[in-house]
Amino acid sequence: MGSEFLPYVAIIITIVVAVGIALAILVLNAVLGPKRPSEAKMGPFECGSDVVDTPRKRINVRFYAVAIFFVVFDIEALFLIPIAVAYRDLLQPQHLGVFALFALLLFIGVLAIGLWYVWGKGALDWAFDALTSSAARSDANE
Amino acid sequence: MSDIIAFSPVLLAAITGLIVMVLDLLSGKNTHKGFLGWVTAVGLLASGTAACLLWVGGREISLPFMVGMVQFDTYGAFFVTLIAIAGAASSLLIVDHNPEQGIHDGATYPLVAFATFGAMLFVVATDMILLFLGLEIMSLALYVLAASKQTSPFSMEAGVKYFLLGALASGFFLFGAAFLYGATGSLDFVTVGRTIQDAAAHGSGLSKVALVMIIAALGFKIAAVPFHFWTPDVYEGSPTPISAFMAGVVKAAGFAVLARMMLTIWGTAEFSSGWQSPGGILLILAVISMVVGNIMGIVQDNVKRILAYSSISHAGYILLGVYAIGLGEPGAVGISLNSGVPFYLLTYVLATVGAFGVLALMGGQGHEDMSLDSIAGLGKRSPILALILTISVLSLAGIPPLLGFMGKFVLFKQVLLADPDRNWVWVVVAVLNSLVALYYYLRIVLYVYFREPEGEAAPIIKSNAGLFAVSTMAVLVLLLGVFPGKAIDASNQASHHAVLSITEAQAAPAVQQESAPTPEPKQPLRLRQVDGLKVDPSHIPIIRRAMELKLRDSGPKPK
Repeated sequence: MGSEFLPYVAIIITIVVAVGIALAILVLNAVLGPKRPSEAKMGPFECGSDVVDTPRKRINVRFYAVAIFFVVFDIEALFLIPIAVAYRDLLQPQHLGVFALFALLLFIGVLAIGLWYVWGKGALDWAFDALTSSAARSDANE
Repeated sequence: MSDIIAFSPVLLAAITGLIVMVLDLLSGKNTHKGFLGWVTAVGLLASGTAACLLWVGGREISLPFMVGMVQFDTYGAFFVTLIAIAGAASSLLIVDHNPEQGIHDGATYPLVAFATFGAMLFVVATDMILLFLGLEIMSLALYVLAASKQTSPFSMEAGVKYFLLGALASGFFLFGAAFLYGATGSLDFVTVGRTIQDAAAHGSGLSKVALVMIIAALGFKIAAVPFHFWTPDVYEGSPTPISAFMAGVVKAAGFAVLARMMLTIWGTAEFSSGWQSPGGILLILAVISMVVGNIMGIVQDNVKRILAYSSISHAGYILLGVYAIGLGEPGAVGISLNSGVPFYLLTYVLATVGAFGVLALMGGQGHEDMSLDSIAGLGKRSPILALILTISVLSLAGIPPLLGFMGKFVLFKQVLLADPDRNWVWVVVAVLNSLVALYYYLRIVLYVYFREPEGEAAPIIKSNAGLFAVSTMAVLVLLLGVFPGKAIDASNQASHHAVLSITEAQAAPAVQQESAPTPEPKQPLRLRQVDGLKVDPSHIPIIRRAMELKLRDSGPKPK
């Protein structure tokens, strides 16, 4: 171990102390604390109202798809903002010139193809689809 | 503009992916998507052709470009071509395999194209950030591809396993890159290497931690023991053309990057001296990969698992080549990549894609089980597929006059020449291992020709595209095995550029790029140049040893 690891000793001590205090509180609580369980205390906390449903539910997988699409276009905005800020400078001939515009359009174009693809594959119809399928399910139940 | 020309092979693969995506959309939902496989193959082969043309006519291709993040030299061209061939063959195998397996979604083809694009980017990158981008583009597409047979629990299992372990490996890689950045203040291979080799940082803990982490991350991609546990399960569970892709493209790309990073960053003359040197680690991995791969291969009953363990043991042979650095070749610090390594990868990729390809063509009617019993009697049912499988498997075993023999011959000879006094032990180990491997390779041949299936035999797919792909592989294995001269020349040239030269990169800032009249304004864009390192003054004496050069150059900002 070289001496360049010395500053990390402090971090390790911090981690040990932090974990130790947390563990100590838990253990002391378990040993010393009075225990008078009741049904209301044992139930999951839901802002005072009665528990209506289990939290361990299956979530429609399309939520994740939408989250991914969101990230894609989020990143697009993230990249476009610095370009927009520097755009006037980039257009100067000693920098990129008109190529800056084409680079921008190319970037947006690739993402547009992606959007088109996602749209064409029907991945954006999820709300309508969910409505119809739940309607179909309630029909089947009746 | 010259940037774009020199980058065109990689760009062509990306454009192929976009075109195939659009064609998939335009062709409607209920059409047969097989033609997309041909489009993908043509696009990827165009990319490989562009790489060859750049190589043949290339005057300026060895210069760094894209602000020094990419270097498309003969090394890059060699591997881009190899990756393009393997990618094209895989996409042709998918054409008739997928409908038979009940996969009718056209999304497979753009994913194959994007994975190939990622692998190419991975190979030509000389900067950790771009390298990581390439790694992730390749890996993310492959996670999906491994799970692309959604009706099969095995395929799902393969996808999840590959994803979890792949994400772990990516994390290791990022940690390694971060430690290297901490030790040297740069993300560029050449600068990192120069700093580590010049400064006392060579022996410092930071760069050693980085070395181990990067070997672990890339060891996962190349399936070296002890990072191999995913390999048999994932190769077995994935749709077989995807297994071919993983065994061919990912391994070639992983080795290309491993060799380049190891030798550029840690490649001093002491590279392979002693157990604690970078080469020593590779040597240990090489020997246990060979032994474990071959011994585990013997006890397998599933052909896909046998080929998976064979790919692990081949990783061992190639690691031995990376360990035994070349001598007397022009290189950054007087060392160069062993010229047997690119050639061996060529022989391995062609043969393994051919072998997996034949298995892919035996997956008719949703048949998944590739046990030895289900391929029994292939010699009678389809003589041509049996012949191709035999050629591929015997080439993997290293039987003359096939390409695999030349690969082993050249590689082992180069390993021996690199250090005759010590390396003969490892060459003997490798040759003994090849003998052991013969058992399970010949077992496949035995079942194909001399056994009758006891249970259900694997149904054969009638596929022009797939047959074209595997027979091309077999013809290449035969032809190059008999006339290996050109291929050996090519890999010799490629290996000369494997170690990124310091002098070239020092000259790089002087290279005029058309888009920028002076290179200086571009410099602040580079991450390693950003003066954003906020250092606590009390830590400076401790960090200085690792970052001596950088701190002296720029000076810490006063708080």
